[in-house]
Amino acid sequence: MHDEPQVARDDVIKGTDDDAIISKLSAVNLGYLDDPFVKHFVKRPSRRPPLINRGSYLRTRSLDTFTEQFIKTSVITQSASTHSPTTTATTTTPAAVAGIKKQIVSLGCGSDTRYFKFKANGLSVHKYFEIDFPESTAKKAAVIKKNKAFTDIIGDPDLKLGLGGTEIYSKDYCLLSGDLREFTESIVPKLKAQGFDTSLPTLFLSECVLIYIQPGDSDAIVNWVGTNMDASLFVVYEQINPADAFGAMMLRNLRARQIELPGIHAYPSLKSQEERFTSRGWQAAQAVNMNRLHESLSEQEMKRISSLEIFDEVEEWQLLADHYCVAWAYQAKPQQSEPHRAQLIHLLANAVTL
Amino acid sequence: MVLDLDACIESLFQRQLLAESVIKEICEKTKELLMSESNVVHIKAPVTVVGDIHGQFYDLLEIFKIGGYCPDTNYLFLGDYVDRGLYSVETISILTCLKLRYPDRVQLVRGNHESRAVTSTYGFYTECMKKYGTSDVWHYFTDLFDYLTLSVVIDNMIFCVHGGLSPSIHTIDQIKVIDRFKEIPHEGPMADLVWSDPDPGREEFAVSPRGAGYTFGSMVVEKFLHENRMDHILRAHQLCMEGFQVLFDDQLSTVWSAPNYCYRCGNLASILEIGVEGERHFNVFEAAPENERPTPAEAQRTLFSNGVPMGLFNNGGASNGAGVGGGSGPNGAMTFAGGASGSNGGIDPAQDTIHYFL
Repeated sequence: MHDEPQVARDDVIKGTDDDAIISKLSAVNLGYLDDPFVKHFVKRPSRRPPLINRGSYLRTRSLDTFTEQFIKTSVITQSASTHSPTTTATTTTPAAVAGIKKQIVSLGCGSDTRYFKFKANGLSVHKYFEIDFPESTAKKAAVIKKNKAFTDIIGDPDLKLGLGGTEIYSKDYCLLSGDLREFTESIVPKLKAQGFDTSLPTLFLSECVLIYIQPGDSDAIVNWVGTNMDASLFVVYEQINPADAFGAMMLRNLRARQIELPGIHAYPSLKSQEERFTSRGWQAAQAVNMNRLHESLSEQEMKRISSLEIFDEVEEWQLLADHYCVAWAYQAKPQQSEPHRAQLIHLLANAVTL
Repeated sequence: MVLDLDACIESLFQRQLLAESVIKEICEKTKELLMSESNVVHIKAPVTVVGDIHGQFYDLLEIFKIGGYCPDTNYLFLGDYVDRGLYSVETISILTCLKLRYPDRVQLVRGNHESRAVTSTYGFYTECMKKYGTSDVWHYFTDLFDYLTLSVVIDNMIFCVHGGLSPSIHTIDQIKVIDRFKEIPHEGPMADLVWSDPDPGREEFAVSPRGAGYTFGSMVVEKFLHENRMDHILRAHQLCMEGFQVLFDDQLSTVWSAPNYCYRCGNLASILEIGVEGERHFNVFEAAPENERPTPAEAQRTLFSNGVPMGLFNNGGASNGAGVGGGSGPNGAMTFAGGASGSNGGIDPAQDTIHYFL
């Protein structure tokens, strides 16, 4: 009886992925985003209102930009280089990079297609891990296994399914099932069993995920990463500002759909999102709202997206965008040799330039 | 058929839809009436001015409750009757009937949403398809929109328009010579009047973030009022969290009449009551209590005035097969799946769920 509400809530949390992927496909179909993989996860496409399309585009694009910069920024270690021992942080293509291996961990990945989209464009890392509830990963694994479009990207003839079809193991891509609320106990061992290396610079992504679990549980994840990783970058996209009229209405409307945001009261502002990390010893942290990200689009890009649809919701857009943020933080362990640590910090900092 | 407008109005107050044939006739008759209206209609106070309603039918009922019913109260509506809310059809139906029934007591100005292009994206088209099964009703109303006036002047002192001013328009006479009987153009004076916004941080015109119309500043406002010997500009078009906003030293006001806009913004709304001496009072109100309105899911069920329940046309899966395929679509560029999954699938009603990023 005690478990029932929790199970029901978990179903609702999983359901948020359905909502998000339909929104993403709506943006793709209208030309905001380019992603041939999303459609495989949507049975009944639906066109969203323009401001939702714009927000879906902006969220994906912002996280894509950080991920791309993380992948592309090279670090040349002293031992590897004979000519210039100093750090080179440039956006050279991966083929030219004689740099360090990297990892990406996508927490609560749902139907996210980032790995596939990036690899199709020649961008990949040493290992990309995706984690979600078994019911979600089972669905995703089924789609991946069934579609050549996906398995071709993974490109590993030794690709295996595991745990009753809820996990995928391959050379550079692993889909793992688990409960983020038991990150240290059950997910970390799985990661390590699949070759996860705490000494490699790693990008952790939480795209509207940590907000759905108790702050104690999300803090545990941030703590573990900060303590155990040699160099890591954590990027969070989620809701903020629960207390104003719009925020209060948002919580009410979501509650009517049985969606709760337990994390929002713990980290309700840009400042608190930064302190979430800096108070735990992370090197640096910054949080911006979606309006700021919107404003940082180039004129050319703004023109392009404005031409896709009529957009008559400026005030409402600004209200909505005020209630979403992207927060990021990075750290590199002091125990390492100093030039190496500086290079790592440079790599991480460059990933999150707007 | 003899049109019984009072019966129609009564049905609509019960949120019962009028039959398609009745809508057709009402629109025809109202077009005849509007045809003789100038692009600038002159009226006298007292009058109650209403801003954007956007299909929020229950809030329109609230407006009548607090402002008084027609014809006891004179009303001036500043446009944006449709789109975004759940009941655009009921809203525009009742306003059209009231205009036809009390032509001198009700003024309807055209907003930027009274347009084929905009209603195709923002919900009115989809709602018509859902509630009637074909796009005919959408055609009747959007044809009617072409006839709505562009502006109203109260007591020769207050210039009322949906959006704002235009760099091409310095005098009232220049508005009068516009050919308004068409779809709102992408640019030009007619577009500017329905799309522009004031910018208290500026003095002149500038490019608008909306992609149509302009923003205009203090010098523009002063010049226009001086040139036309008026003392106030009254407009709608912009969401106001407090229900209204007064700018430029009380030379311009915005009135916004859709509380908790889109069931998401948590804002107040207002109507502006102008007394016989020209005194202005913003009557602020909140969204009608939730227990007095159906949930979005309940709103799917809509009654016709013959009592036959509807709600059969979800996502275009109409049973009558008449023109649902999208051939009579607004601009031919969209496909309406009617259940099949085209490249963009069915058009999301945009009103059923209150959307966020999850």
